[in-house]
Amino acid sequence: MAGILVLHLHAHLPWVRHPEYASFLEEDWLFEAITETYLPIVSRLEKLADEGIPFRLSMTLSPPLVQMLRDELLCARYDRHLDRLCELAEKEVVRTRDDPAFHKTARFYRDHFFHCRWLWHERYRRDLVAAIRALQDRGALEIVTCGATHGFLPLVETRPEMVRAQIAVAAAHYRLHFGRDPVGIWLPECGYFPGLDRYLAEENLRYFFVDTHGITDANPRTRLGPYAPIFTPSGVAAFGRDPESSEQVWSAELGYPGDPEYRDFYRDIGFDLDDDYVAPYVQPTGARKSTGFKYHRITGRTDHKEPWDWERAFERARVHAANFVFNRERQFEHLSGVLGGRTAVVVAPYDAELFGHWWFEGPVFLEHVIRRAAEQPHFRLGACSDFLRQEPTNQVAEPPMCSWGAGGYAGVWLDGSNDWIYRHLLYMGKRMAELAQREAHAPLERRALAQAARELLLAQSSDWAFIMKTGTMVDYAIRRTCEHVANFLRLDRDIRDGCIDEAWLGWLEYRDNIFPEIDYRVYRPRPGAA
Amino acid sequence: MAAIVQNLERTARTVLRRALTLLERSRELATRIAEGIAIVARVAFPAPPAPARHGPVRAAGKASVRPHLSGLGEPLPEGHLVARIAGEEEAYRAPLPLVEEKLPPPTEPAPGPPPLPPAYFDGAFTAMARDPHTLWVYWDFAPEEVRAAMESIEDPRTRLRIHQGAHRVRDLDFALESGSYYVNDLSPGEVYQAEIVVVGRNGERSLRFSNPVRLPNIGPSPWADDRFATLPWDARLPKDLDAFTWPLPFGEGLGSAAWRRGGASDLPYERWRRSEAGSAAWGRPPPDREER
Repeated sequence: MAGILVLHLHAHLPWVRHPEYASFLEEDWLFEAITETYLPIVSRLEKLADEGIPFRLSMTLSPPLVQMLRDELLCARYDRHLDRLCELAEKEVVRTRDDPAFHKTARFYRDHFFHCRWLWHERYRRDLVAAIRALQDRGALEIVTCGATHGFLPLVETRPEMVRAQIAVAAAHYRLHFGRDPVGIWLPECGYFPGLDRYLAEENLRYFFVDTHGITDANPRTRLGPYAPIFTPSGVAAFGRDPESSEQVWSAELGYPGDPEYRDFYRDIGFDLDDDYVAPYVQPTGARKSTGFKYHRITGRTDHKEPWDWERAFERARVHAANFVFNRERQFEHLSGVLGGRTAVVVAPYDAELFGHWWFEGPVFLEHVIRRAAEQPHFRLGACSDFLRQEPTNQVAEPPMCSWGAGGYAGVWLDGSNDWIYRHLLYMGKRMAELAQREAHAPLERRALAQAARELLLAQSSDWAFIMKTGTMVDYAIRRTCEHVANFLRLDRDIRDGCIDEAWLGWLEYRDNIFPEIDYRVYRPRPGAA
Repeated sequence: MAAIVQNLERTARTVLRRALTLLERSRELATRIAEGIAIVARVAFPAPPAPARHGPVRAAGKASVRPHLSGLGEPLPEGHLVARIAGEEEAYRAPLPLVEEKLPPPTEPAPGPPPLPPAYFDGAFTAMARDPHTLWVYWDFAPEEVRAAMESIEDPRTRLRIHQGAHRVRDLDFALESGSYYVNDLSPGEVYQAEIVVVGRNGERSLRFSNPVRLPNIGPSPWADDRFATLPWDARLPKDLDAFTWPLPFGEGLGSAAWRRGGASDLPYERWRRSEAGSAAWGRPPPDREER
């Protein structure tokens, strides 16, 4: 066995929960991801494990995602969402009964959504986190943690308390939900800066991921490129992304998901059909939105889209999986020579939501990759900890500041569209570090301090800056950032003045109820620490 | 130590038991609220008056103690502490204020984002590395600090000065009111520090220095000094950081780290390919297909 392929799925969604509205469009991000990504992937992994296929994947479950998946309000709303999907699926079977081009697909959707509902209610009892945890306990998965709210750490480097809180809160949250210490972390956006490894070592995290240039541009120069980890000065290992396997899946131009047979992401009956028909399934205002019923395939670079044939598409996914595994076999053969016989590691990380949500056939592809990988002798699917157990000797070097965003550094999260955020965040970090030095004995003050910590963490989510940069849903990202900043500033003022509005605080605690376990003292400055 | 742990455990369990009943009730109510039974919610938890009519509660005052916890005489247990003592299941059911109180919104949601202060006047002057060539600086000075810096300077104007070690590499006129500045075309891998100075006809005065920042280097490091270390997986990372003193010595290291030079020195240095595609490179829906 020449090497280990670390297939890493990074599952993260920003914290979106709006009890103040009867329904809220952005909550669909979670609902769509559950239906299209998490349920299909988890059920497939379970099936493979039950069949005795030897495999081990690596996966991030970010703390906001874990918390949302276990939130009763969101679960209840997802129940309704799923019911509506099933209802619409029944209608679609009737609507398309005289249209052979689409009827087969409508029947597919009906089976698919009813199966999802069965999985959600019966098999997983509305607790996907428990199902994923069970896969980890069976050895099929290694779940790593992430930044507490996916805050991009290089841009808060000057406030150590903010960096530490993102990591320490996430680690505590992981222990709470997975019953063990996290061994690795997916740094939000793979954002690293020299010295960050010390904060990771404080939580005994043993490894993290960086983009390729985090390894190839490390200091001193690395011998083995991204095909071996490096030990940072504090002993935490950094694993670099493999450009080849990434490109085969990620690239919008060259990647598998762009194949003409695959389902088109954009064409959806929520936009295509009459108002009267889709009204119950789009926004209450009547504004259109995706419903999840998509009947066309990518076809090509044209507005004309051919009908999607799910059987042909799934077969294409199987072929692509075989191609992916074949390429990895050749890659490991090549690496075996280049690395002088040393075990090579190829790290192939992807956003989990790519599989199923963006690329509908992605979960089928994953399943066949796992099946194929189990049949060949050149590599095995494993986790980073497997590699470190097998190869405890690695080069010592430090990655430069880097990320996996466009350009490779901080440009996505710091430009003219979003740079206004940071003066607020860093001011909040400074104030929070001061607040955290208080010894709050009154429960109300403790609650207020804890909520201030939550508001700061929520404002830090890299998703808001990313959305502002990419120009979609910008209003929502701005609103969320401003709300968390404003909430924090008011809490800060109220705590200092000793005038806490309990009713307002109670409302905030109810709405922004992430990290119920948080200890605000995590923001206390630690002299001499990282 | 064992007695302390037992005591803590007893305390945590007592608090947990008392809270469980309330917790179950609040969860049930939360479900009802989620289902939109607003009337039931209002009966169970009367909507709080608007903040203007509802006077603030002093933190140390009697009213600040939540009714269901009054009389316990103990602070709330921290969730992660409960997890360590009583197990994960207990921690998940911990009496946390967030799940005990399901309150309807105090007011109608605001239509737009709340306004934020344009400045904090906290004296911040911070530099950040954006990419290998670009430094971003922002500042937030109190007006009196600026006035003091400009005092006795004739015809004063502000200038952003970029230092690279002892060398001044850039002098830029800028408007202090802009609040921030991108400094472009710098050298990768170098350490820079920004300074704001007030200059006039009769001299200049430094207003403030920023933090120093190292821009990331591009490409393989010129420092080719490969050393390998062995860190067994079952060994905990040394608490006395760094595990490896930096820059790297020979024959030293902490804990179980074993040193040796050039574990792969016989291999040639490769020019490894960089990755071009990232999460940001994958197609996102165009704005016209977004729903809101």
